[in-house]
Amino acid sequence: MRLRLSEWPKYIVSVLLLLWIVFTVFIGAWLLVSSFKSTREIFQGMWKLPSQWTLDNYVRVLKDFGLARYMGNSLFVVTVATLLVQVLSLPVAYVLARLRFPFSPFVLLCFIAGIAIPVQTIYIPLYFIMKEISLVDTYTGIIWLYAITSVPFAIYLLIGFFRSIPTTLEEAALIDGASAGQAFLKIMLPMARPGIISSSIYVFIMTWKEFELALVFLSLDEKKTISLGLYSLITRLTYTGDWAGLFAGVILVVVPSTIFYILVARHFISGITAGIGKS
Amino acid sequence: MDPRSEMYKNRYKNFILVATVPVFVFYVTFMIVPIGMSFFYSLFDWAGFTSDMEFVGLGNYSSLLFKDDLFRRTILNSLKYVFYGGILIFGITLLFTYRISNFKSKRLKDFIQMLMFVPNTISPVALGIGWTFLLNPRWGAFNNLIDTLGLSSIKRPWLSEEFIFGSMMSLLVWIHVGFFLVMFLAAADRIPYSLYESAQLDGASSWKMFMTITLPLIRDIISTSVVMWIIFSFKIFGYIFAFIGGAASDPPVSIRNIAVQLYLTGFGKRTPLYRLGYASGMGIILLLLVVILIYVFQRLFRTTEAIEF
Repeated sequence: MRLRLSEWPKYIVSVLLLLWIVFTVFIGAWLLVSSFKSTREIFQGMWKLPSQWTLDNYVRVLKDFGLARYMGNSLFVVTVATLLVQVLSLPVAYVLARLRFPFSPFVLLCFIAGIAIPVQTIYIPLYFIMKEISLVDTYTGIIWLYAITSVPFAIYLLIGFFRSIPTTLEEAALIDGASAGQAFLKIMLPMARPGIISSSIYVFIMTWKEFELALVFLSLDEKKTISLGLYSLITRLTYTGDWAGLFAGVILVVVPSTIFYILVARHFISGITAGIGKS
Repeated sequence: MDPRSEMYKNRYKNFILVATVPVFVFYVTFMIVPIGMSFFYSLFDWAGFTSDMEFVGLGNYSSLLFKDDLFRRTILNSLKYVFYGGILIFGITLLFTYRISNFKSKRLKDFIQMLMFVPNTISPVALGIGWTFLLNPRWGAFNNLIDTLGLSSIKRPWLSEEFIFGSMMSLLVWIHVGFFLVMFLAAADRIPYSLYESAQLDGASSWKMFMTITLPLIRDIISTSVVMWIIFSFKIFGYIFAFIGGAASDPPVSIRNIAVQLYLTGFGKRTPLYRLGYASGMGIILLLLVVILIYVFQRLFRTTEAIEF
């Protein structure tokens, strides 16, 4: 490679970028290796490899502390919530992207403004609303909260997609006498597939890692989601000084979402940016 | 043919009603009405869970803003997160965008983006506790690494009162650079290559091309991203709550933001008293801060544009 003086910013940033990446990989590797150590070995410094690569830590947190149960809960809650978000947002996004009707700019503005509402501003009243309809401490309740709080951003992303789809096919269907509902279901939904996939992935990831609503609305141990479960694991393992168990707990929370993300990353990255770029 | 024309209006009418009205009603009921309720609660001295509500007018607000030093400190922390965090995050993200958008290999580009986005997919509780492990002064990897590199003199108690805010900030920066990088790079990729060609013929350096061509053309996405950061940063909760193992004690005051203080006041299990009226006031202040900052930012961003061109 030929070095050129005028290109010095490039070289400096290259070094920064390399350090950043090495550091990131290093953190992951360190957490992973430590999760196989005993608490005593962790205290002995990071360069010492575990004397025995055992799964003891993992077995302990999965079985004795029910991390498996929390994961199952999260998987269920998050999957249903993600589907529900799509069912709620797709028709609205389509209508707002394509059609004009009285108050449509106002409705659009209302939904988009919802993106900026901090969940902290509304969860105290929400607690009483949910209590009134007996949905505190239920799967239904947390699914509903995840869905409704995700709707504004999902609508925002999907509108970007619907606007990027050409109108000709839809018009042809209408001329052939299709109803609006048919045109939406048979023509628009298949064409919006990349948008649906990436907004689903986004909602899935964001609700999978959600913590605060779960903390406020779920207190029964058997219903806790993964973030909340890990939090109560921290409480218990800190008292017993079981750091090794905590490392395993952290890895168990990190690995599934990371693998899931790596598998879908391509769809996700292209989709999310296409949606945001359009508006 | 315009689907909005008269002929289609009737056919669409029912569809519009069915598609929007129920969702809009749900949305208003569960997200807009609670804002009004929050404001209503904030006018009372109320412990929650009882009907014993004493009307205090704007009393909660004057206490929050003028008397409650702890809360004022959390406002300051929230502002520090949004400003310092924003400067660091967008500064670093722009530098990385500059470098990575010059990569020839698309696979390398994709790989780096993917790797740096990973922290955004991980539970904040796991990251909060993981980062405190990393920075643990006795056995954490960070101090270990410093020792190994022979730099022991720069070792610090990263989780002590003096350094903890910086430690917290480093976690937030590390996470969010990966998030905004994905957006900036996608915007930079959309710039047609031909725009760079004449600059290249003139012998412009890659830095100059970035500053004069790329940066102005990704302006929109930068603006959207800053607004997103304002929204994200005020909501940050889990990372702070789980920092230092969180559960054994309340998060230290030096890293607490409004969101955390609100939870501790409203629902904090260690506080015997639930001050829901007071906490609701915090929620309203939080919302106002987000709205004001977004507004101010957009005004400033537009003004600088007017001067530039």
